Amino acid sequence: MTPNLVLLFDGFSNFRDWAWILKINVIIILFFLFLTLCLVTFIIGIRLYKNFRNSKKQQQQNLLIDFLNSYLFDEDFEIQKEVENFKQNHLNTALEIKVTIKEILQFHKNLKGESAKALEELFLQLQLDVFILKDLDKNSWHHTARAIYALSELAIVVPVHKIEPYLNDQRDEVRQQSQLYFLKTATSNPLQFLEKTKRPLTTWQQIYIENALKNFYEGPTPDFARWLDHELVSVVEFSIRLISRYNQFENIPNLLPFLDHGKESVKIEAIRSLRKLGYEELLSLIIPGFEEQSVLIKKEILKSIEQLGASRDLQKIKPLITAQQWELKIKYANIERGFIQEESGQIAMAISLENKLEI
Amino acid sequence: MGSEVHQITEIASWLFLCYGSIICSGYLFSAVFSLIEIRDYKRKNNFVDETAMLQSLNLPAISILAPAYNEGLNIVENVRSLLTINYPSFEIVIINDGSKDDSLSKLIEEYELEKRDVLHHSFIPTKTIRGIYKSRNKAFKGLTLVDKENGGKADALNTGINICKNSIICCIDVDCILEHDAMLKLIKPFLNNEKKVIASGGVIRVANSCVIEDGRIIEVRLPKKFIARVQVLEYFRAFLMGRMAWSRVDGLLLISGAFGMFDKPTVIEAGGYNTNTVGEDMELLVRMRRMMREKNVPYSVGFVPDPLCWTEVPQSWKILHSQRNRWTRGTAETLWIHKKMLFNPKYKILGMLSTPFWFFFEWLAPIIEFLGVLFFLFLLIFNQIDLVIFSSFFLAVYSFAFLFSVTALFFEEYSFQQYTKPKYIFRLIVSALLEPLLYHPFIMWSAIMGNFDLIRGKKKWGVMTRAGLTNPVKKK
Repeated sequence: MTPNLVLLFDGFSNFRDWAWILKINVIIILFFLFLTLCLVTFIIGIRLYKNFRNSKKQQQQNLLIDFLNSYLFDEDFEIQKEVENFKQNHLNTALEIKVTIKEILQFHKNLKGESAKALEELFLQLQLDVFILKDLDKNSWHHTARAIYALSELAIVVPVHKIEPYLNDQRDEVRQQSQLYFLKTATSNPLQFLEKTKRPLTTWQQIYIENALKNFYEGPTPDFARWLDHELVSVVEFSIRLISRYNQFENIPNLLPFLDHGKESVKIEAIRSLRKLGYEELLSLIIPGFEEQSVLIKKEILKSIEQLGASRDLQKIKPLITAQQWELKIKYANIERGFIQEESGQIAMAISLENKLEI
Repeated sequence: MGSEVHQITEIASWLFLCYGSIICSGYLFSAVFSLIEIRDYKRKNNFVDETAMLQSLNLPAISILAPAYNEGLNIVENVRSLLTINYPSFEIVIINDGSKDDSLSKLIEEYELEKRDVLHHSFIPTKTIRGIYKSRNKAFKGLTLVDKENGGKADALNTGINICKNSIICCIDVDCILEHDAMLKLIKPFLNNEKKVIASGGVIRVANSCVIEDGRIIEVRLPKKFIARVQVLEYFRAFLMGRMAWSRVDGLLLISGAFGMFDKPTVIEAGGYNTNTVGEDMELLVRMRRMMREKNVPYSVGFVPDPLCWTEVPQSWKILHSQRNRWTRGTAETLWIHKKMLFNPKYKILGMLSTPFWFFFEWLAPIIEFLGVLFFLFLLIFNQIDLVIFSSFFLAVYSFAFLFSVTALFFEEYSFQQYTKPKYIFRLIVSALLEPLLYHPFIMWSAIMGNFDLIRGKKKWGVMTRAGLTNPVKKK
């Protein structure tokens, strides 16, 4: 054994005499080992905690399934007494309350009419709304978003000032939940919240709003033209799209000015909507300006001709597509093949040949 | 002579020490950022079940591009699995990259395909297309098969980009196993962002030994072989720590070629996949990001921490060597192509942090490590080894490597906890203990050989045979 090794095994009694690099290394090793031990303990801890939590969750869920089924469908169930009993004995910890809220929301999602209403009443009887409102007032975005979600799912109305500020929150999750809250709790004018909206609507939010409008809102369909002059481009585009989705033919005149809008995406949305509404004069409005448009708009115009027009409309475009615009030429040829099916093979061959010669 | 050796020793020791310290600090920061990102993601997703969105017809259509080369053994089943993807509107484009086996005939027969006259524009130049096939059977109307001359994975994907119809494309390996809501989760960043999103990627997991039924993971199991088990740890480190952290600081440079979604117009504008590199997945994202930055267009790259895609990892040392050799060449080629970005403040975080990190700690790390081994031999020859100091350094490095793996394991437990059986955790800890001794030196050597092959001008992918995902029987 070398003297150095002897030194190492001499123990830590003469640590002060060790080379500085050795001291640093030993400290580092001990530090890493300590961290590793901590992490392994955490891993075991998390495992045990999650197992414990899951078993508690399962217990509460089983209890709730029986309780909710009896509450909803058993005529002999003594509601007042049993609800009070459940509140006293099974809503004592945060976990029990959270699981109960989640389970009621899950039941609510699968039920409609009287049963859904009964669940909304039960939610209030169990005073779970108190817990939700506490969550709402917490200063963390995930608590707020979760609270608004529960309120909107169960259509629990709270004073407007409690939710309205969240329409323009920093976090998109909070914004989205507050939008859905106003929509799901509305009895009329479900998109009124758009007037207070100052931040752009993402496509994801738009899809959610449209779904909620179709599946949750039961009042009269709003006139979407109301938001065509909104300051946010995303809201304008959304309104244009909804006009065609809801077949609001009466709004066609309101859409026409958007064909000359300065923003490409708005123009495209207007062409798409008018096309979906089957507006026959659309082609006479968009074909003349074809040459000055961007490639994306040109593609929309070609698509409109495909759906609303005939071969003669397509012919008008032909001289306006330049020799280098292959993407448009191929789109044009594909539409032409659809119009003149008997010449489909010849058209395909001609354009392929032209393409090869060019290359 | 003695004092010169001593001086060299002193300088080299300090250099190695500095490099090691910087690497450790980098990993520490990545751990902190990842933890924050995972916590945020869990909070975002713990109250709303978004799978209901899969019923919505308003979600944009996706084109799924899957290149196939000599996949005849499983191609029919793999395509069937792709056809069952849970998403409202999608088309599947299988690109047969000049397979020498019976892939083409099997697909034509099974899916009742026939050659069609499909006109398309070649946005990106590719090898010649021999034929485009569509099915006579309406049940497979979303399926397109493109048969082309062999040109490699990048060329096959470029062909798919030229042919496909939708403006969002998802490039995947044909044998990947996707989670039921993978497409929905991957498209969400595109739709839920005020900035333009050019790409999004998800976490890839190891499917070896898992129970698979009808192209879906039924039970997650830990691979039986050590070599595959260590790769589970590697994937934890790479995805749950590395990419999560880079995503947090918007510095992501790589979306795995096995499963990634892209904005097609941006891909086309950037010129598509580069056929001259074996790291085409990384190179494409770097080029797209560079282009957006140079155009000064605000944009974002999404990353989803959920395990979305399961893939088979190499189970033989030979194939693993070939894979890591290729990864090294791919990294080096990408960094060389985009060397202009390195330490260039114009590219912000990409120039000042991401590319330097990849240069120093991904590409250079195995080289430094190899030099360290040579340095050790040098000291040994000149009898300059202080065994105590050496042991202390070795233990420090070893304990750090173990700590790093355990941290990744902790992240997995904290986040998704896919390996539910306690014995799996125990086995993973044992694997983490053995990895620095048995596995890491091999990976380092593969990387060194990768650099050597790069200098020699090797451009090939190398053998990447897969054993095929078997179906262990699920115990009742």
